Amino acid sequence: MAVKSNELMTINMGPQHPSTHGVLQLILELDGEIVRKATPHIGYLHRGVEKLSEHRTYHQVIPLTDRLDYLAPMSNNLGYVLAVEKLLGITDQIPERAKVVRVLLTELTRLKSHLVWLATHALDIGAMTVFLYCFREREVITDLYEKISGARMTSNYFRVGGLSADLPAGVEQEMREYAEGMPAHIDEYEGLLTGNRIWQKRTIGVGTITAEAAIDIGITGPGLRASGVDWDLRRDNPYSGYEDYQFEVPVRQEGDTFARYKVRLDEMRQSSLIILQALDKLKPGPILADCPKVVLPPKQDVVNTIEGLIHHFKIITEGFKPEAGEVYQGIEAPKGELGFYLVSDGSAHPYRMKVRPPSFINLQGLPQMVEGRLLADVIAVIGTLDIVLGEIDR
Amino acid sequence: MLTLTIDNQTISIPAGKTILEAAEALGIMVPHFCYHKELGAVGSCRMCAVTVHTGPMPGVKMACLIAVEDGMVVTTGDETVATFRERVGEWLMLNHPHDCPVCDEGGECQLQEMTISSGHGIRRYQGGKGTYTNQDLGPFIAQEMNRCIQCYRCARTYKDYCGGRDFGVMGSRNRVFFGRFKDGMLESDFSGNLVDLCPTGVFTDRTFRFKSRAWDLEQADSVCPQCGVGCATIPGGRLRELQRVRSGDNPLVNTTFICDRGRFGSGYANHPERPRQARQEDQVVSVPAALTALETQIRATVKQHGPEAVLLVGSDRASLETNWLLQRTAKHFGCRVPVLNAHRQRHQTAQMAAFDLSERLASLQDIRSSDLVLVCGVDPLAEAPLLALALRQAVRKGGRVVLYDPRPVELPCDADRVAVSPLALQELLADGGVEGRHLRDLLSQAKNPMIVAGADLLGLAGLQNIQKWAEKTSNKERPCLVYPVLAGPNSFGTALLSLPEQDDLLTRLASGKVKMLVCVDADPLLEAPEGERFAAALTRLEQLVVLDYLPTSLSRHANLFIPTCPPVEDSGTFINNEGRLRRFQRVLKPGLSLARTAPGEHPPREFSLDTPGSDPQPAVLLLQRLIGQEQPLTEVHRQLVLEQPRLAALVSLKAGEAGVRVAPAVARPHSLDPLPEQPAQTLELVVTPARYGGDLFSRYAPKLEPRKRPPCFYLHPDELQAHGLKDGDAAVVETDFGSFTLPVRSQPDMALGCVLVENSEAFPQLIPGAGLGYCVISAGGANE
Repeated sequence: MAVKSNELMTINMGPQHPSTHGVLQLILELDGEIVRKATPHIGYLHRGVEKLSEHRTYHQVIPLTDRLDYLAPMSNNLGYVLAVEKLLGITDQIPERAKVVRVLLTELTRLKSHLVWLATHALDIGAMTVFLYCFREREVITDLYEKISGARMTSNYFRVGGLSADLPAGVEQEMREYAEGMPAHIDEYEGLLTGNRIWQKRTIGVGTITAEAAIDIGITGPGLRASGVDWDLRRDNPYSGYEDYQFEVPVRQEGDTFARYKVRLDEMRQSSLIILQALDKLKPGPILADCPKVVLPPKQDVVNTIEGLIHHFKIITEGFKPEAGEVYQGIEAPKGELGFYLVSDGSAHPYRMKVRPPSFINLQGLPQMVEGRLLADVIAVIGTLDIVLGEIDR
Repeated sequence: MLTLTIDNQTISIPAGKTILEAAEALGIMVPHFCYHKELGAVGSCRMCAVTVHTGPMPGVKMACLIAVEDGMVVTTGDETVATFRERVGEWLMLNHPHDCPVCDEGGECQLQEMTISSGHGIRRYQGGKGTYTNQDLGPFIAQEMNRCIQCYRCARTYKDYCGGRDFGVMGSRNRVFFGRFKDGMLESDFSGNLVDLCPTGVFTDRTFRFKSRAWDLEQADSVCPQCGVGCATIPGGRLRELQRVRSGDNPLVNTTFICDRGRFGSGYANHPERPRQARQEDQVVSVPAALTALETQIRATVKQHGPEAVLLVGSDRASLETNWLLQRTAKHFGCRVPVLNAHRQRHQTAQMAAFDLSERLASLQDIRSSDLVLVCGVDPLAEAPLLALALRQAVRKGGRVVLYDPRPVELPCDADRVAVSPLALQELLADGGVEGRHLRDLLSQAKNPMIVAGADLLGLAGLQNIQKWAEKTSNKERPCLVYPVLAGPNSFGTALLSLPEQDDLLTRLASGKVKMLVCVDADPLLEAPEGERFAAALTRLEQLVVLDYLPTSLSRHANLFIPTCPPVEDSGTFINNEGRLRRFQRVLKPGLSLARTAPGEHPPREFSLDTPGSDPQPAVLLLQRLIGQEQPLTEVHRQLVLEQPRLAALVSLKAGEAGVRVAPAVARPHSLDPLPEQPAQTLELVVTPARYGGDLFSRYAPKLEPRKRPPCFYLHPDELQAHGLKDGDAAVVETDFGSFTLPVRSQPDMALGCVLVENSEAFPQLIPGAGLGYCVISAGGANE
């Protein structure tokens, strides 16, 4: 078919497309193989999580957060419970063990999320082996998730005031072995990719974004740090005891797909170190704050004492009622700054629950990353942005 | 006014109030159990501890007991009292069983709330718990004594407030027990209030047991339709079933108490025989088709036979809006004005109350604070149960109750009771001689006198004399108020809407011009006297149309039937005995209950677009569709107020509010029936509504069955002897309305010269309020 050279061709990519990482739809205007305009269309996975939250008690919202960035559920749990704890003013009453376990598990979650990113990103560009290796390692974390929370993906593990249950026996050793073995695995991935000329051709100089543009859009996480902005909430606005851990924040200047690849791999090495530090800090102790009016009582108290039963009954059926007010709590989730904004009107349900999902904002960098580039680079850029539609559409 | 400081906030409050009330006025919640605004304080739970920093004895005090003083400084949340309350919480929990999951109170339990607010969360006491043996308190109340926290609210409710005598405190120390001497049904007609007042799950509604959690119920502010008092209620339903009724809070009417008839008498909404489909002759038709047929028939009948041919009938259990729309409907089709109440005498007395007495109507709140109440021709427990509670409160405060009635009236309080026959009562009120003068003197000397007048027994003549008495005994300082006891929840409203000097139903039917009768929420066979005349008139009709929600015989015999909704499935307004507008709100949508009523039954297993049994529509909506004017209720109210300026408050009225009195009006001319002469050898016939089953609603309430009594004639033992009868014999009573055979019972507390019979489901033939009547009694007939 003859196409006039000055006429743009509009093509539709997604929402059912293996490389859009979920139900993302892009309307691309092509001049031959060059993308002149890219317009993301979102909303195919909208479940109304924020609205649903307004009719649930504060505890009932936690399972909804699992389903935002479903590749990093524990990070979502953490961001939300930290926001509620801030709203209740019980942040400083969270027991040490709960704080350490939260750090331990969210760093494990960072590994889990980054492994899926690397696996699919590499697969999209054509590297099949890395996909298999990454899912092999991710499987271990998924098994750990199952042992700890009972679910392989939708963990629903953290609670307002602490954790839903203590760590099962033996997982500490498994986590230690895993974290110790992780750098070798990362070396393995790097051996397959970093020096690989095809990988370099497909990533270096592709999807470049400057620090200014990244800040303007509000990009956070590895995407921001790969453009030369040294910003990490774990260090710059610490929560859950991150101030007590020694770790480096990897930063690169190039702002391209390769830089983001390297930043994420370096982050995985740092996460392994944080996990080992957390395991060293992990001491026996309570896992729930001593705030009976808002914290679910331990199960043995519910089963054995009327006090525990009454508190459980009321917190489950009616929910606790924070004083009227509003809070914002951001955390450094694997994909960037995940924020929860909560408004309480003094009732047992949030008056408003707003999520600031990193993927939603990071995705806004896509048009300027791909416009003027080849169509094939769109695949690389979607991969490097590391988006999850569950979080974008909510 | 005294000024004090609570938690750094300053408040001015009248002397005599407690710290707890002052804190409540400031919006500060002090946890408490035993204090209740109607029962007062006893200081037994120790929960409401606060610190008083001023005065000669500063320290921890019980907020419910300490009266406010000028300049007082109080803190409610300092560490001392917080710890104190936490320890009290711990101590209340020592013996409390571990059973919230199986306790009906769970979710609306004050103990749960107070335990959490006390801050006590970790159990330290590891010993065993005390246990009790529960009693069987009958079909209404389930007892679970182990849950008790000894706040004494039940005893204070049952004995002190409601005047029950078969329940109280037993035992001492940690063996305190609240119950009866032995198992058995609680005798008080207000026993259900134990459920509302108990702060834990010791007393729960047995008829509601394990049916629903409180938070799963659909609830709304409503008004009890079962008598003219108009108590605030909060019915709760789930799965299309009306499952329970709780008392609302209306300080001017019922405070926070309701009677057992209102609480357990709600079965009519889910009655298995409730008609739920429109019928034309014997064919089931859709509601729109039935309405179209009705419209066609009305138009054709009016065209063929003139405006007299179609007669619309309203009722005192239909809402104000329904009755008004009935008038609109008549106007729309060019028929003559509708009859709003088929019971002529009751309609007359209600008009007397709504017009002539409208300037001096007493509320139940007035009665509660009265020092002298003259009760004439009322059996409060049967006709207006909450009135009995109000009388008791008056007596508890030092007031006096004087009661004149032919019936063996039981009251939950002391009263000077005089048993007089209806005729003697009429004579007393007409002139009264020495006794009448004495009573009027008493009223004149009282500080706050009230007269309670039973419209059914006194009739128009009696009420007019009561009005004269009230006028005579009023003076410049204070009026003498009248509380009329009317029959239906909206008797006052229907009377207010009606035109003066209207022909009654039977007269209009007897004229022979009526070809088509349309009864809306009304059954003249059961609700008006002279049923035989009415039944005879029915045979001369061409069309009988019934719109109703009760499975009455009239609705079964109708040529055209359209199902309507009871008050719990509708929104509207009633005007109660004291002329107070009370709004009720829809609780449930109509539909066949998922549980149905009998075990094993199930709603139809058919696919349909609508909920099974959801055909019934509020009568207001049906009438609006009939005349082709569908409007929201607010618009109906606006137009109603334009026509009836007395109802101005209707526009801003909301459900759950105490309600507003209608504006007073000038008196109406009334046509008095002459008092019939007593024929020789006759006794006076007294027909009274049964306590349970007297009103139409409680006839269709299966839960009330245990309280219903078999019908019989009551006579004074002297009369029995004079007629050669013994207690339990069968007797034939010949009346103007036919002759009836029932057993006779001896009743020493009733007036001489009377035969008393209760109108109920089992004996619906004689209707109360038909005026003075006479009868002849003789032995005979088979004793069934």
